[in-house]
Amino acid sequence: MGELTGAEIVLKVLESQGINTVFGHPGGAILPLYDCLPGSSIKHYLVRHEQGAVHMAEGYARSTGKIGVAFATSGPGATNTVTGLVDAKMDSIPVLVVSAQVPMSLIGKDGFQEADTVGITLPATKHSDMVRDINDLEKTLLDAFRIILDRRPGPVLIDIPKDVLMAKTKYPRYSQNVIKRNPRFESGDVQDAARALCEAKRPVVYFGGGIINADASEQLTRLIRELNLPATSTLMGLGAFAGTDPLFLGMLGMHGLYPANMAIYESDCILAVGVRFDDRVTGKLSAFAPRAQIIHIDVDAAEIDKNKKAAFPIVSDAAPALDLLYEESVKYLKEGHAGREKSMENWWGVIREWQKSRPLKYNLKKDVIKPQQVIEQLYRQTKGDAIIVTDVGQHQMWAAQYYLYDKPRNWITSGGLGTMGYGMPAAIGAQLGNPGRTVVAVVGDGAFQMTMQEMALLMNKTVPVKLVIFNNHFLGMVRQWQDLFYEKRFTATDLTSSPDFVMLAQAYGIDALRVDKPDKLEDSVRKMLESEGAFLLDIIVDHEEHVYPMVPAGAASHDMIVQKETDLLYMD
Amino acid sequence: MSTTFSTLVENKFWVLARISRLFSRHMFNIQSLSVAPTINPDISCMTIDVDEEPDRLRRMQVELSKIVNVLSVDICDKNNYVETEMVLVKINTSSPHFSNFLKEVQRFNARVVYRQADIEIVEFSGDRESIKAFLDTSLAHEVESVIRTGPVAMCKKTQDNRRAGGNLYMG
Repeated sequence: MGELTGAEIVLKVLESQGINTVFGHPGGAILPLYDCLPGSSIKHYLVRHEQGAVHMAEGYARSTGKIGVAFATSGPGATNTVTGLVDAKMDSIPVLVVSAQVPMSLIGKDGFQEADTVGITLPATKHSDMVRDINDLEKTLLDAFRIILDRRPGPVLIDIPKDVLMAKTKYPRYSQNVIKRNPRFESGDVQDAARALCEAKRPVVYFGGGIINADASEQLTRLIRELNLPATSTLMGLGAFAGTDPLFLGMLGMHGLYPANMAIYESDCILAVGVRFDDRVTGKLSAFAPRAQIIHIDVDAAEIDKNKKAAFPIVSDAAPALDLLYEESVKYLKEGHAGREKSMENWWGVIREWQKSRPLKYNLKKDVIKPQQVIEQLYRQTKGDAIIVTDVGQHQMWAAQYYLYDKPRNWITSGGLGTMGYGMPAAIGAQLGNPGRTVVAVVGDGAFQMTMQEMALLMNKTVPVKLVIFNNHFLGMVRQWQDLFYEKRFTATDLTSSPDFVMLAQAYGIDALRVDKPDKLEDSVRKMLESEGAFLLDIIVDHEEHVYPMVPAGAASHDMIVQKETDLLYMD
Repeated sequence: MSTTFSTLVENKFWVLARISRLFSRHMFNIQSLSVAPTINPDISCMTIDVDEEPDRLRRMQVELSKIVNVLSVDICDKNNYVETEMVLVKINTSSPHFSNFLKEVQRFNARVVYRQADIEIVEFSGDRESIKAFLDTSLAHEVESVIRTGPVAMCKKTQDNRRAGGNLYMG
């Protein structure tokens, strides 16, 4: 056991926990840490803004299931991480941010680049802490890993003053074992829940990102298939159950599929697992699943009864709860419940009718590329096996609707916070976590410009991200709302003053192409996917296209606006 | 209705900020808050008084127990907890109400803790009902000012039968 500096201990602890990739930006206070980086096995990627570092860590974490790590210096470096931290908190993403702080002697004295980082990040993190004593450093960092992974994952920030990074102490003092999740069943009556689920005439499974965090796709799939259940996913849950499975109804919610929202509305029993009844899912809460008994499985006890009362609350990691539910259901059905087959047949008949009458559709145009057709083209050419990372807006919803995700961790998007600017940095993180895989960043021309300086990382040959800009020269989703709910007053949504993205990419040394004709789309997408390095494809798409179906904010989730030829039609 | 949370927390930086921000995040107004170390100097007891709907209280209990530095959270009820609060009342001795005030507060067994020139400070402690009665009496005599500690609460049982909170990370 020798003596190491604080900076060396940070890197040693990260290495001991299997961290080999870090995103960050140096600065005065964090220099001691950066100075030690060359001596460590950790590969560091230099971002151009610390928000990008956290999004990259998120993309890395979501695509690999490992913890994503970002470094930031004191003051502005740390404050720039806040959006990323809140994003990770909202979507329950395991992220560690190590920020440096001014030396202890300057804290509270408004020193240069001093900010109250822990104070600022209290509500932005699952936990944040400052290490004041070098002797506490190792334990605080190990605790950070425990906290990130315990129950519902989330971001943790550890703030370390410069003098603590430079001080020396004994290392190691604790076990070097890799800290792992410890999935537990905590409470709930699974037997009763299984009976309710099996006896239901119109059951629906409503699953979300919790399944992906818990790596419980297998358990979920086994249960859905065994019981022949219709299943719908939140935006965050896509891929947790195969998108091509006939039992899958598609996403539900504000831009959910018609059959999914209708099934929820008509259901008499909903198995809600790894979800939080978010307002973008439920619409008007009192009209959401008005006839259903709810079985709610969540690892976070605070989610139970938060928005919707659960008849069967189960506090548990998704995997053990779904295992138990499966066993209890099989046991119950073995006792013989002849009526169930018939009632399920009826229920599926109703659902198939909805699917037939209101399929997801859009109208092709000869001279303008429709955004939906871009997603379909991407799906076809990647054979559904790319990692799709999106920004926030219309393109995000189309990517959720038209690309079918068969596996977890192939779909990465900012769900809860809806952070514009998330897409490209998260795609970079996903690519670094998945060398050899095709990673496509689907971004809008608005959101892209919020973090586009991170294109600098695409010059690196190890980051061959395919960047697809859905360029409609507008803030499309805001424009859609202005069109539908603000009498077409298009205030501040015009983006015609954007740069030429193709030239911009070329300035960064990235191959790029612009396409604006439908008959050139297929070739352009192929060229992009076949390119060796990073590639930017600027696709000029129809700016008048809207995302449908749509549940207006605050409306009941079955009151969808759906597209019918060129007209709009309000449905009941 | 006024409700009291009794929570055991780690006695260190940021814990109070973490807890108070959680209350404001959920739009709870803290009526009173009292904090001091327990027998174990590493652990403090916080008694937090709020005026809220029962549904929201239970949710807050769960949210509080998720804070890493929180060891336990209890909602105090009369059967399990003894509650007491202390009040200081300042009155001007030249006030026409003074002699009557003194007579009244003696009935409460209140204690004079300061007397100088024309100022007198009286201390009283008791449960919710007696505090209310004492304050009603004091205010009826046009006292100068009142300071309250807010209640502190102690579990009646020999062993605190508290639910485990987020105490996984304590060394």
